[in-house]
Amino acid sequence: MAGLSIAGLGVAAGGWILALAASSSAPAAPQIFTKSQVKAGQQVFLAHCAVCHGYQLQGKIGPALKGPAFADVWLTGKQNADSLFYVISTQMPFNAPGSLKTSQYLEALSYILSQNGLVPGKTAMTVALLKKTTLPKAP
Amino acid sequence: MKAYPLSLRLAAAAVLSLAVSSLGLAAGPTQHQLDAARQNGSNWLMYNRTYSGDRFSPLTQINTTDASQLTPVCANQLGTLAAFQATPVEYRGVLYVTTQHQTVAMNAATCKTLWDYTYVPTGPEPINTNRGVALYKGMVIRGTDDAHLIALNAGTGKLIWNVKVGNSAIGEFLSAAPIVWKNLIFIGLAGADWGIKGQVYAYNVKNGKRVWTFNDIPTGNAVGASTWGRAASTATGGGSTWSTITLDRSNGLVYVPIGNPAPDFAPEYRPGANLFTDSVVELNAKTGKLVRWHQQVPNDSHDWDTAAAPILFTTSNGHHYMAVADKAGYLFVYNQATHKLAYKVPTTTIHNASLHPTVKGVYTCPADLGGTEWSSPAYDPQTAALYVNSVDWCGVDKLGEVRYVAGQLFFGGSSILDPVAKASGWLDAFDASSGQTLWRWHSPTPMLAGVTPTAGGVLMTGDLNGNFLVFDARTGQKLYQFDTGGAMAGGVITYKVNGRQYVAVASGNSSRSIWGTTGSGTIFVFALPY
Ligand code: HEC
Repeated sequence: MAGLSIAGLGVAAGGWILALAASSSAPAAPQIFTKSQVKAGQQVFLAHCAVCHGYQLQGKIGPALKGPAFADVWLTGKQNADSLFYVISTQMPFNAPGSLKTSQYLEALSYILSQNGLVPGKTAMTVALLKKTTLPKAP
Repeated sequence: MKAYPLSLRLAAAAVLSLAVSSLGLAAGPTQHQLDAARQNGSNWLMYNRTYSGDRFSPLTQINTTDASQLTPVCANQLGTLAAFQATPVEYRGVLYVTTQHQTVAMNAATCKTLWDYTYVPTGPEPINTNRGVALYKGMVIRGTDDAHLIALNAGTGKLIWNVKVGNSAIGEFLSAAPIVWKNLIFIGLAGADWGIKGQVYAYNVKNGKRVWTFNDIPTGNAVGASTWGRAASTATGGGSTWSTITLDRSNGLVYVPIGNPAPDFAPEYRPGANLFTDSVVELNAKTGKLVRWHQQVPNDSHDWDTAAAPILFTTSNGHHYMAVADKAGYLFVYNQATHKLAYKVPTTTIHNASLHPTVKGVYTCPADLGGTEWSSPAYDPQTAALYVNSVDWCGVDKLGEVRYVAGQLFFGGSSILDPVAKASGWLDAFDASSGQTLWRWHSPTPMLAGVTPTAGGVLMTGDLNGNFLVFDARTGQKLYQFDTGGAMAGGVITYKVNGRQYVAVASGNSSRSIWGTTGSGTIFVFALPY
């Protein structure tokens, strides 16, 4: 994409607003990742995230990625899963943003969500799936 | 806004009952003492020492002939493993210093803790930094990372009032060190990188009530609004005050550094010069009314904040100047009579500075952690020199998707920094009238600490390897070095207690961002042996 057009940016911003509005009646907690993604995600997390977020996700120089602090921001029943993926895949690791593969980011997110009480299922997490998923309220 | 009438009354009682005590207390510093800060070498009364912020100390006990004998006399470990970028202040034998949550008063000659107040935040904290306090008539005033402003009793550390200034859930916070003049507290929000709309405020020191608000990002009919080619982008336009604020007592103006626009790396989202980002704004201190501004970087696309406070100085031939060093890696000096740029000189490596980030990425120097960060330049009237610390660190700046997620970083791209091992720093000495380089010292690490010249002819600072450094201000020759064991990224101040000159430094900046530094937050105090 050479030169972001203003129109394109407008759609991105508008899309965010729409996503919020559409998500007010969240369905029951969706299953949006698999067990094997969680397993692989743990390895990604330990290798690339734990040094800043803590080996127990308890937070160190980066914020805690589980517990009330995380839930207050992300597991409110109103947040778009895609927004969380956007933060992770474009800004993390903080010292090398965007340096991992998309599949690794999906796995890391699966691991983080599993650590926050979401359960794995048959459906694998994909970028497309995240776009139409609202994160549930903290279980 | 909350008021705390009960604690206010209790605190007033406490001030009265403690008025006779050996250290520090209780009614000062008065406005008169703050006005006379320049002549008073014994105390270091505010972040940049004086209202004009030039940082020069008239003390001479530590000088070019004896500085090599300096020795640490005490240390106080504050118990934090986090960013430690604060500058202590000193009044009558007491140092006041902050971490993210703590405000600590300690004996300035022995480091013994007198009181330690721990703030309990009631909202999220986007960062973990605080730069320091203002002292005023027995009060210690500071901001918090959940965007509150609080006042403590300087004698006891008890809370006097606590007011909510901004909404930290969307990235607004107060990390700057306030200043106080004529019962008004001046401070600005930070959080541009989270897509806030920055503001600068005056608060009444007595009750914590807001007196005026200045909008960093003008809209509607306000001056500067036309520099936002896409009005919608002002909603997340940015602007931060990171360090402190400077004041000219002669004209009653505050000089406020304002940081970068947001989204940081996507200038096409916000066409135009984007006033008042990357600028120094001059406001009437009484009313907050805009008088004048100087923008350092129009339509910034590299996170090149004007972060460090400007300084005001007068050369021996009577010329008044305002100097400001920014993250784009320049020192700007403006003539205060004509308000024109007198000169602009680079302080670090500059490369591809005129290019905006692309999706593929553009290798840029400095990248988003380069140039002069939060520590201001200093002016030394004896050498007629300006001293500037800076960071030499390049990286690839990339344009990315612009998406606003409330409370998250709003970059519209990213900056992939070179490995930290490739980062270095500079300490520059410039002729203050011409901008000619007098000498420069290449540091193996970025230079973030305060830089402090004195009438003893020495220049004191520190590096991220933890070295407290003393130079001959005239020649740049290194006179003394002491490894404090923790990265130095905060204040370096000097004062006198019972006839002995001391230097207090902040060591142990283990930063949340990527300075790659360690140590635990510690104040070290140095002096000459008896
Ligand atoms: C070098 C340190 C560092 C590393 C490595 C790192 N992070 Fe972060 N992370 C941070 C910091 C600092 C923040 C806070 C950013 C801010 O100030 O908003 C953050 C924020 C986040 C957030 C937003 C949290 C919230 O509640 O707002 C998520 C999610 C996250 N990181 C996930 C990750 C993942 C996943 C990885 C590994 C792929 C990772 N981080 C690696 C430092 C790091």
